[in-house]
Amino acid sequence: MENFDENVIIHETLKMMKPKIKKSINHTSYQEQEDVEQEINLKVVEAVKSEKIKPIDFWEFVEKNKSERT
Amino acid sequence: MYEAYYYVDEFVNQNPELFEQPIIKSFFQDQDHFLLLKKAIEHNDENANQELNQQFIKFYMTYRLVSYISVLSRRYTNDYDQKLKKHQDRHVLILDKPVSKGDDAAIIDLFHAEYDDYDLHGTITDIFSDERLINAINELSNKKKRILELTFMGQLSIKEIAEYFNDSSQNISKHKRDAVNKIKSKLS
Repeated sequence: MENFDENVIIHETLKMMKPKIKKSINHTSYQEQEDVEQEINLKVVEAVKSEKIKPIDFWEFVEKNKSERT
Repeated sequence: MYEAYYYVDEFVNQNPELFEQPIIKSFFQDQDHFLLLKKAIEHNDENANQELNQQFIKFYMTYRLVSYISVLSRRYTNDYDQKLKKHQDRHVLILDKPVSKGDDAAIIDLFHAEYDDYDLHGTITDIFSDERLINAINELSNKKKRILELTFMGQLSIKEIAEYFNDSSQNISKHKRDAVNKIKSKLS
């Protein structure tokens, strides 16, 4: 897993999802929008750093999938 | 690992549930990924295997984060509230009118069908990443799980859920309480 840079993934995904996030929150006031966007960004970073969402490779996924079925 | 298989088709055939997973389906929509898998299995190609793993890790993380962000954004949208309000406003004056001339059923009777069309955008376990919580929810009966989905994702009241199930509010309330208690005890 040496080549995997989680910060890059976090950054790229947040960038990619920015329009979707904006669309979901555009009914709130402008001030609130900034806060909400910040909060979402923060939660995403926290989820990765706290390993709530952690990387697994293909074969680990296969194993995990097998064990969940038994 | 991949040494256990001689041919990639063997791997696919022996792991049908794996290839039913949406994330796996998406991942292998890219033919290059499938070729890597083939190389790893059929030629014992360690480089291909490493590349496969790397690609998958990136894909998996992006997939998980996209799901998570979608859920977080949905919490802030009042789409559900607006849909429900529009639904209620549209029917408030014509509730008692028959569906069509001479029809016995009033429009209020269509409410059950409306709830079935109510698009919940996935199930309640999509919201959570905590394995224990997901498992606890999946162990509930289908009715209890549905009640939780309608409550938290559909934003329906106990009364509305009771109508959906053609059940009493007391029963629905009890189901919901029991479901929450079951989950609590599983997590403690």
